[in-house]
Amino acid sequence: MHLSELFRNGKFVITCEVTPPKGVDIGEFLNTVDMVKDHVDAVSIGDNQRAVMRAASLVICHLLKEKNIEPLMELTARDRNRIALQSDLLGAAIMGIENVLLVSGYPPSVGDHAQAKPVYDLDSVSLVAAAKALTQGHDITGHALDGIPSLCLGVAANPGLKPAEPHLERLKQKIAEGAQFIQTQAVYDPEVLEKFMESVSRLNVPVMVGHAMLRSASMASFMNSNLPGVSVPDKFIKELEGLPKHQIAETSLRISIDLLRRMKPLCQGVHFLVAGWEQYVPTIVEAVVGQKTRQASS
Amino acid sequence: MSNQNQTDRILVIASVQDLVNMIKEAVGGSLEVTYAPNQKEGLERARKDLPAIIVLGYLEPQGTAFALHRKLREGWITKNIPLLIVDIESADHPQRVLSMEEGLQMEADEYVSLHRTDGQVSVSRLAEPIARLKETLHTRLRTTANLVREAILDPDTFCVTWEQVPGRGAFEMQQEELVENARRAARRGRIHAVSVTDNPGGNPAISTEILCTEIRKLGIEPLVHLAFRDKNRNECESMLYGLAALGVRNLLLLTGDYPSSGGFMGRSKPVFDLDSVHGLQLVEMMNAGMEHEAMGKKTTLAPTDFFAGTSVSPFKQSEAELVGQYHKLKKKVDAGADFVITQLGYDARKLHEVLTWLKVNGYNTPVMSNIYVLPYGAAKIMNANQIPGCVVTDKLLEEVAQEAKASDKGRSARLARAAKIYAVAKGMGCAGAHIGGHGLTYEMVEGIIDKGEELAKDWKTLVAEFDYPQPNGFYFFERDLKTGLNLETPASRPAKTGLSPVYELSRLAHVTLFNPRSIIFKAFKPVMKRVDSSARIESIFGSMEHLAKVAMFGCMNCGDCSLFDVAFLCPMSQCPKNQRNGPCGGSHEGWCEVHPDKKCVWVRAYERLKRHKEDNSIGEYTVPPCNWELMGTPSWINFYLGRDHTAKRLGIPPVPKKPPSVERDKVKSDQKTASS
Repeated sequence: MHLSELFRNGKFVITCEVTPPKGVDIGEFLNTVDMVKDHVDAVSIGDNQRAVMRAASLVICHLLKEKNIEPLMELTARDRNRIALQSDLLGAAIMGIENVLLVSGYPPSVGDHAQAKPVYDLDSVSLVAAAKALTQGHDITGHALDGIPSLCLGVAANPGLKPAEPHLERLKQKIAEGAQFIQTQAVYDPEVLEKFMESVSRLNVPVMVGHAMLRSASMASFMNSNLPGVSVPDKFIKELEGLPKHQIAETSLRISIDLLRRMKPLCQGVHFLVAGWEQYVPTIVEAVVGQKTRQASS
Repeated sequence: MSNQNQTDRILVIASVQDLVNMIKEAVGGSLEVTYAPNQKEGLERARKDLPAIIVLGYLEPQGTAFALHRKLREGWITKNIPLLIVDIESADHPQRVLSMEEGLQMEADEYVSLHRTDGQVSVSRLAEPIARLKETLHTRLRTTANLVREAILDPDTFCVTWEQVPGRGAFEMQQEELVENARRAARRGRIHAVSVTDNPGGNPAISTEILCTEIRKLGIEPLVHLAFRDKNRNECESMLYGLAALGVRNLLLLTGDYPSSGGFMGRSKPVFDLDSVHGLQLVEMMNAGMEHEAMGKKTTLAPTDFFAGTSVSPFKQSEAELVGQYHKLKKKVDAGADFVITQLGYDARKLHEVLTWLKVNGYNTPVMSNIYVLPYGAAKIMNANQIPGCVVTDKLLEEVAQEAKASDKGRSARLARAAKIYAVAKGMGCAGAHIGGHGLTYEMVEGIIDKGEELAKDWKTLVAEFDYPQPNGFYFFERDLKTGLNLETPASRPAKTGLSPVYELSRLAHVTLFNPRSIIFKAFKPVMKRVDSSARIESIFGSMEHLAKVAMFGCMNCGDCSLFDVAFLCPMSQCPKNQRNGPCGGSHEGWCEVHPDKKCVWVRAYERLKRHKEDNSIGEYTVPPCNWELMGTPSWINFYLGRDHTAKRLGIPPVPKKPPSVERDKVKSDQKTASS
């Protein structure tokens, strides 16, 4: 089911990123999916996310589809040219993978193959345009398709980025090209989200706020130093400082629930980025929306 | 006795050494800085040196630092050591310590990203996180910040602990209530520790050590009771390692009531392998870093950080019992007891007696007053002497009975009494109160604290309300008529007369046969060596010795004879708790807790020694626990040949025992000769 349809029905849409294996052993990956699958509308699968080489997103999404779990496939312009990108989108649609998140992708230098050649044949705006073209029955050079793919297109945004204007300008372009929903970078201040929502209100596109649980005070400082636009307030870092391990999880969980309860009325969904802490997602979802999102598939 | 002198060392692990210099500059000599250039050495050093802080910088190749950070965080030894990750950004440091993916999964305590401009790095940015990590260290396990220790040792803080009694069963309401009490106490923060008794009354119950590790997670310090009734020395050591590793540090070491008859298929085997003095010695040794030998190699274990207290029972009726208590207390304090909790009792002069005794003897060990909120039911049982060592006099019982007739069944009266004892204890100089009582709620405990604090300044006027002497009860010091408490002058202890033939005979034998300086000892020594060299002669000799000693002392053939230490009474056969260093707290008016028709051996020993004006010898030295290696061997030979504990004290040189294989070969060859 297209996520856009859920938004249209007024549902608070929840997705959670689960990291594909670096290797061919998918046991642990599937266990992790099991932890969250009943509490999310779609499981989001990164495309060599943060420039770390992993198993192909398309294949992993297909596996989920077979298990009757809705995937959200990320597609990055970093590793493929326009031919491969369109081809993968068609492939996905054939497999029934219809929700896609189209991003330009972090440069190879942040990941584990710093020497890799960055492609960026398309950027995120033209990638949206290409996908939209496919859904209209032709490729970007105008050749007609045999059968038209049905795709729901999502794009990324970073509400904390400064200066905001150039970024918002690009976001508007993406929407103009046909993007149907927005997933944001992690936001830890409801005011920042509120401001962002005001600036995109005229675009009339649903927004899912990104949320990464704070794994430690050091992880929060790391994000502040290394992720542009992410700003974890000092009060959260102070709360986590010096805590023993078992109390960190408890405190972090409380921070997440408080924060998302305050942000829920502002936006239309939440996207969890919790690599390694997926076991806490059900607790947060139940505390924030009050119930399971999706009945266990029978 | 607690170990507070861990070297403050900071370990820097990084491929390039410039980080070390920066850290050195940042800490300015307040910490010793050590360096490891790679993962392997870093991990080794972290595990062996137990640094106060670990700083992790870039390690070749990319990804190594993250892997090491994981190992340090998950490692049993290193998981609580504060970890700082430092990134230095510059043209010659193109790579980050952690990739973005790794950074999002970081579990270090702190992360600092420094920018190098013109070869300069702002070192000052490192100082603050390091200072914070030093604090972190102090709040972690295996560290010094122990709120109970601080509260007990701080003269301006009155430490309050609340005793919880666990029951039999895994999932019972008693356990539910206990944990809930601890949770409330942790949330409210008015009391310093929750203590959990160890198989109370000698009945099986859910283990205190496991409950206490759970309680620690709730955010309040637990106080683990350890009774030597149920665990031998290895089990005690083993349990203590587990507690140390999980950060449970406060202990109350006790002899323990005798096992009840309610055990599985009958009364359980009483262990009493150690007494509380030995237990304190064990903890002291562990805190210093225990040395032991494994596979012929001497090693020293990482020191533990226990804060161990013990108990004393001043509420004793007879002189012999009471003086015995104080002799044993001396040994306990000398063994390293960090604090003392009194047995429950309602006689203010007795509580003051403990403080006075410690003061007069030059000890500054803190004393916690045991405050038991006394309902009528418990008062009746205690008055009938059915709970060993707990004294409720007839006068007190009568008062409690009157109170119980009130519409609240005496509840407000007994809480008021507890608050008054609190005030008196605080006023007279106790370091804290150990509050207990069946069915107490947290609110009641807080009520006792509030009321007690309020009354504390007028404590002297309350002393008269706690005047419950036992009939003919003995007090160690003269009464101070002004305060109703004690002067520092010991009460007179009139000399005893009379004779015990067995004792006099034993004394004679001891002076002649078992004095290493006597001629007879020297003459007998070669004979003993001869006996020891033949298994057959040894066995005959042993049987004869054993028979004689069974007749006179009920000998159990432990081989590590302690008759000399207890005025020729055997603590193995004549004391059900095998106490080698003084009486337990369970006797009643001089009679044994376990066999009420028998006099306590330590009361008898006191009386015997007193006739010879030697009663102070009870407190003179600590008798080690029985060495079970000697079980079933002739103790006289062990004495002569320097193998038992007494010989060690008297400096008799040990003669090694021949290995059994030699003995076996000899028996075999004897048999061959006989058959040929």
